[in-house]
This record gives sequence, structure tokens and C-alpha cells, in this order.
Amino acid sequence: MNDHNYQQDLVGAYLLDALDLRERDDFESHLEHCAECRAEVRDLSGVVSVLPLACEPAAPSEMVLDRILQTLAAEGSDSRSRSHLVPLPGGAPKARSWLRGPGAALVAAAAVLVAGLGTWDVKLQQKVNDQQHSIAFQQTINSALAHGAHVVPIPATNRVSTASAAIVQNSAGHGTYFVVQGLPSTPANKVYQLWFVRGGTPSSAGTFRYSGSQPKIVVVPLRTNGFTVAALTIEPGPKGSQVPTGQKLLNGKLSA
Amino acid sequence: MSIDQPTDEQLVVEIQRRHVQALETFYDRHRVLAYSLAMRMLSNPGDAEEVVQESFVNVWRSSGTYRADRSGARSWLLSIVHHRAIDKLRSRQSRVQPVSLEAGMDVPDGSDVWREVSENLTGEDVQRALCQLPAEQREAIELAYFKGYTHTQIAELTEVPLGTVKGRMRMGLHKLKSLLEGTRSELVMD
Repeated sequence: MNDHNYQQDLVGAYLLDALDLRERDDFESHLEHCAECRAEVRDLSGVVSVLPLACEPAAPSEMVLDRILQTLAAEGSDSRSRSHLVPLPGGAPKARSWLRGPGAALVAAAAVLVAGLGTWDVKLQQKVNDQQHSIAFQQTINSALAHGAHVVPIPATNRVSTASAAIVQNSAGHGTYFVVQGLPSTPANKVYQLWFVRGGTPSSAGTFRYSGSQPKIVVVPLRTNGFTVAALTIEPGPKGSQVPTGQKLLNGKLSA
Repeated sequence: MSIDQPTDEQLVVEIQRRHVQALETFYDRHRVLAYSLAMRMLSNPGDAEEVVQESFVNVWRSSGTYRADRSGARSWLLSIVHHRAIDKLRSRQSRVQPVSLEAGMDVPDGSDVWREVSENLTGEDVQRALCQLPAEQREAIELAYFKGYTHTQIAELTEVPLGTVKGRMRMGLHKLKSLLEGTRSELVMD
């Protein structure tokens, strides 16, 4: 069998990922020596690259970005990594990891109580969920502190008494993050907008939307140096405002 | 895209420099397409989200291997998503050795002319072109690309000789390229 003819017939299967590992290795070895097949691969590879456009559009949940950022932040604690991310714990706490935290006994007791009642109280379930997420937030902050990050709590105003938030900046001064949990879900056509204030002049530190009650990590494009106050308001979406116009939900002093 | 917005390739350069916000922008720009591909292949939102998450983490980790002269950044990302989804599909089947994660991610996405063509194509253009393919060529391409079957498995499924399946894939891609280039010509004439 002419090896070139045999391999050339595999161009389509190769580009569509329809070869097994051994066949793929053999084909790629052939490509190293065959300009004709390389040209055909190059000629057709662009076609394969647009096949995803034929898929029905669908959006992932907002949790996906959070999980990506948490994974990257955790990798920042690896001494071999060149990342300058704050070394937050890897990934959102899994379903069982909070059981090792200080609130575990309280949450477990609540679960036993509900089971004993024989019915499931939706409001109590929400309280259990909120307790889990509050613990997750605290664990996130504690881990950042343990890795030498600079953490500044940003207290909630009376409008959102259930919220917890902090500005987190890693010890090297690279990377600023806003960690928040317990905000009301962002209304349609609105966004939360973070502000850093210096001499009474606010600068936008980014916008985001929030839903559920799990901790959310937002990458902040500004460093806190020189700013004295951080605040969170709710503004018209999708891009927010040039200056704060909405209700102030969080407000706190930044270290000098 | 406005003149002030960075290109995908510029974003990857910033990702190489460890600017997380660049990754966030890259994610915002392509999350729908990445997830749509993963959902089409896996039909499970949890698995699809996991593939998207792993793919963007992989973009962060391997941004240093990206070569703008070989493929557009979007194509590079989608090849990562596709490989991850293939791995998950084939691990479900547990009969076929998974595709190496690194394999194929360096495949160029065509000439500079084709890049310009592809940047202006819509989902409708690609769907219409696929529908214009002979049914057996379209089936071979869809079973391979969107369902993760190997050419051997497709031959068994469709009960045709393996050589025929290989030919259908190869000729189908050539035909698809002609159809899509024809679409581009129509756009230019408009």
C-alpha cells in the first residue's frame, strides 16, 4: 500500500478528530515529511474552525467564570507559577468541604431538625444555604490572609445587611479582587458598580451582575493605592455610570 | 468590534503576560460559542460548563504555546474546547483511547484569506452550507465532529466501508469550503 495515498485519505478524519491516538501520531509523522498533505490540512483546517458556528447559541451560568478565576487564584500559590494572582483556595468549596468549617455543627443541627419534622421547610433550606455560603466567603478571606494578602472589609449599609464584602490585594501588589457574598440578585437592566474614591472623586473599579448567594470574585482593574474609600452602588446596565447615581450598598475605608 | 477594543490575538498576548482581566474579556467574548459547542457535543449542561471552565483554564496555562501566525485565537480556543469535549465523550464510551489533549491544538486554521472569510461568517451561513452537502458527507462530518466518533466507529454505525467514510469526510470538507467561500463572495457583492 502506498503510504502517502493511505495517509492522504485520512486528512478529513484527522481534521475532524476522528482518528485514534496511534493513527493520529502516524499521520502527524507523515505530515512532517509531506508538503502536499500539509497543504491540504492547512487548506481545510479553517473550515473545521467554523463548524462551531452551526451550534444553537447557549450561554453558561455566571458560576463558570467564578470557578475559572478561583482556579487561577489557587494556582498563584504554586511557587513554580509565574502568576501574580492572590492565592485564594482552589475552586468554590465543594458540597462537603464546608462541613469542616466552624459552622458545620450549626448547619448539621439544622438538617437534623428539619428531617425530624418530616417536612422540608423551604425557608429553612434557604437559611441553611445562606449559612453555607457565608462560611464559604469567610473561608475564602481566611485563606487569602493566610497567604499574606492584604484584605480590607467593605461593610454593608443598612440596605443590604446580609452582604459581606472585601477588597483583596496580594502581597506583591499585583492583582486586586473584590470578593462579595449575599447581595440581592441584580435586577434586570441594572449592574453593581464598584467605586474607589480619592479626594471626593470616584473612579469606577468595574461592574458586575450577581445572583444566588455564593461568594463572587470580581477582578478589579485598579490598585487601591491612593484611594481612601471603596463603595458599591447599583447603576443602569449594562455599562454602569460615569459617576455614582444609584443607592449605596457597601461603603468602607481603604487603607492609606 | 470598535477600534478601541483589543483583538483576540492581543488579548492572548496579555494573557501570556498574566493579566487576568484579559482572560476575563476573552471569556466574555467567546463564552457563548464555547459553551454552545460543548452543549452540542455533550448534551449535558454540567458537563458542558466543566469543559468550558477547563478550556479557559487551559488557555491561561498554555497561552505561551499559542502562535498567531498559525491560527486565530478564537479557532485555537475552540480547538481546545473540542478536544476536551471529545475526551469526555470518549471516556463515557470507554471503548476508545482518549485523544491526547495536546494533539491537534497546533493545527493552522487556514490561509489569511480564509481567516477573513471565516470572520464574517454567521451561524446561518455554516448551517446552510452543511445542509447543502450530500447527506452522507454531512452525516460523516457531524458524527465525527459533534458526536466524537472515530472513522472506524462511523463505518460500523453506518455500515459502510471504512475507506468510504474517510472519503466522505475529506470530500465533505472540500465541498463545505467551496460553499462557504461562495457565501463570502455573495457578501462582498452585496
